[in-house]
Amino acid sequence: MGDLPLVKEEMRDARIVGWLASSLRDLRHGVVLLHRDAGISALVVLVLALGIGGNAAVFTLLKAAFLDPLPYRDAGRLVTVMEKDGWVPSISEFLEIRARSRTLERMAFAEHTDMQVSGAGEPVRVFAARVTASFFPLLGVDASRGRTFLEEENQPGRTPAVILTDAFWRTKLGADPAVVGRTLWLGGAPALVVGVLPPGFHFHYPTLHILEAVDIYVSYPIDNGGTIWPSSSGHGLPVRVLARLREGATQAQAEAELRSIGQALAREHPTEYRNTDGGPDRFTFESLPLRDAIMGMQRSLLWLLLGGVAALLLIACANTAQLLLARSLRRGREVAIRAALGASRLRLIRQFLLEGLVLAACGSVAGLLVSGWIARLLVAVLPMRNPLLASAHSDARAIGFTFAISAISAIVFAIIPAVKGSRWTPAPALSGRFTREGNQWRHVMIAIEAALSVFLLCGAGLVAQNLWTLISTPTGFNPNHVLAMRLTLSARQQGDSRGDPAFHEFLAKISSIPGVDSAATVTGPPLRSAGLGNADLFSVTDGTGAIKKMIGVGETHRVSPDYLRTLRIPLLAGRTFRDDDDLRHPYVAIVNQEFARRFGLGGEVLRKQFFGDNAPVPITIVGVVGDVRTRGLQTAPAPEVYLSSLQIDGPNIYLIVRSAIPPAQLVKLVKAAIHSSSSDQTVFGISTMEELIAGTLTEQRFDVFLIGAFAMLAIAMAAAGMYSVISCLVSQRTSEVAIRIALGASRGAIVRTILGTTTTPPPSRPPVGWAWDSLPGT
Amino acid sequence: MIRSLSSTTVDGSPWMYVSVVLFFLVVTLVSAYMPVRRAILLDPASALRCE
Repeated sequence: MGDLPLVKEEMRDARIVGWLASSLRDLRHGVVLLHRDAGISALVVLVLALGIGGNAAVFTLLKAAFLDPLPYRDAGRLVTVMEKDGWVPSISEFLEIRARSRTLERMAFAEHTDMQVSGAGEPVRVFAARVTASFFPLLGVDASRGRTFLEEENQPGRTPAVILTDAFWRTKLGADPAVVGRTLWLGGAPALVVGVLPPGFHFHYPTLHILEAVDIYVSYPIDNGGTIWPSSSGHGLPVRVLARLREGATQAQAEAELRSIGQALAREHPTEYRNTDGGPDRFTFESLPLRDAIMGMQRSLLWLLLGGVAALLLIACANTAQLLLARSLRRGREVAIRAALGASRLRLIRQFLLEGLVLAACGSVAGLLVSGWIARLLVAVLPMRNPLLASAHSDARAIGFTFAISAISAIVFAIIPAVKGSRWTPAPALSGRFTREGNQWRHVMIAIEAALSVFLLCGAGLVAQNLWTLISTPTGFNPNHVLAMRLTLSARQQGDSRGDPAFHEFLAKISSIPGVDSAATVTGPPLRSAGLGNADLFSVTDGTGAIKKMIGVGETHRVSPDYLRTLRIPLLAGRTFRDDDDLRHPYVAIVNQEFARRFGLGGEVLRKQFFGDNAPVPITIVGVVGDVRTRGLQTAPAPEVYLSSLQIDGPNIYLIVRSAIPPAQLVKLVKAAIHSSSSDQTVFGISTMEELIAGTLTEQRFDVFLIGAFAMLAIAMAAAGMYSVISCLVSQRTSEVAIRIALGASRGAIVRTILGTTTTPPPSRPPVGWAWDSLPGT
Repeated sequence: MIRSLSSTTVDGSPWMYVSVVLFFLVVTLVSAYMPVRRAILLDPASALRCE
């Protein structure tokens, strides 16, 4: 008899080899059959490629957002520190945290601003980050040329040091190899170039409020002796604070420590950290892992995307299952013959499953090919640029995920056709006639597709309706024919201690351009508000000068006399600013309706005086204007105060011009007028007020586009599915319909019969079907 | 769900839901048009002869 275990093993091997050989034969047979139905196969592969490709693309983005390492050293321990309510800390708070913290081992900050650079060809406006010397070591970045900053370069009074980004060095300085040691002029003051950053380095994330790519990094002169102010007070300069968790310290420990530091500061400095009602503030700091801060609200957007593509894949699977079910039922004769020749039920099921797997494999390969394109498209249309998502790329994990969802999809869409198709009854199968086998499952799949489509349609309808509500919201000003642009005064002009006269010289020249209705300056126009600080506290006095009431947070704008007229903001009481509202006269202000309402001033607003945190002397209210949606169309108007730019000055400002001249032509005329006064003055950030309004709705438009696109794709797939189901059912009932017509049934009766049995799924047949059947002629 | 994921403040009116249902009904009728047309234009004699 020989060795029994050996014989058993040989038998097992033979069974495995036999199973593999028969599987290969079935696979080959399946490929032949799919090739024979090339049209349907191509349609299925196309639908699956869209579904699988969409999922693979979103997975690639999710991977870049949450799994791929950030391009900084030991990025898992990097955090950003914030004040409560999302404000970033001030420099004085940064210094306090750095001195007191035991869980954060290295800290740095960056403050972003516009600057004008000369000494490198024509004067250009650059986006600069003023940073501490610890900024680059914290991120683990070395200069590709020269060096990074030294600690002593953060001391006040020294010539600023500059590090160039690789892009700026190449585009503006022609990749000058001797750039290190060269002097550039920043806003008219000399600065020494000490290094060039490597090409791959970037730290500009809109989610961290760094709205554009940084051109140069400048050493920040830190003054250690200042008073401590929270940045939300409008006094402390807000900076983006980065830190690294000490080895062994946890995020929770850092949170707890920062909370206690914040509370200690509020206790030690009750005047600076007072609440809006004048009481002690419940002030705290909080920390957020850098990756979470970088992703911000885009985290939910990615989940929304994933939900959308998952719904599409589910619809694609349901559609594919329907097509395969119809196809498998048409193959009743082939199944019957194979069964008669000895094929088991399992063998028949395997045959159908293998065909499904072949389709899924083709779909996944096509999906992988289109996923990169879909990911790039999604990143391009995202409402907010994110370098992290822009760097998304496909790798082994993405490929593995794609094949995994393809295999799952194959099982989802092939199992029902396989089970139903492998079941056969001799007479109808061998006669080649259609049966109604499988109709219930097809109805279920149609119901799933319909439910998902209606869900997505409702979502699209909701976001579209809300977008329309926002678009129709009154802004409080007239944005038509208004152009906005930014200016930054050079140090030479600022050296006059009165920046605004330069602007008023520009205004005079611009106003004299034929076709210009009016021109004005403002610290930040509506929807791109800059204010004089994040928010300001005010206290109102009565006529005797005694403080009447502490009144809470408002927003302050410094405007030139023609501002209200240029934006057509209605004057409700009192007067607008005049040219004599200057330093020789008492400080005056115009407030909005919300200011008067919020602080209970009623009709007695005019001639009331208030103290702002930024003003050392009382300011008299001389006018009341209508409310403007300064902070966004979906944000209710806040209390606002307009101050005369002839009384309070500053270097960064917006210029707004009302004119019927086409914008492109107007920009040229305005630039010429400005350059006739100051040849080195750069003008940037040019846009119409309509574009500014449209810019605030980018996210809402994207939501409508995204959910609308998903809904349309879903409805198209569902429509195709319904078409195939109804077609198949009409084919199955051809003889019945023919007999009804021969017996005199009207066309209406035939239509009702078909729609009644095909558009109403079995679970809902009793109530809906009864109502339908009760119609006359059914 | 959309409220939690989307940046939009979601607040739908009944008309929006009615419009969605009507739109879906139209899509259903358009999908059914061709097969139903095939059925009502059926020639009973030739169809039964084939059977």
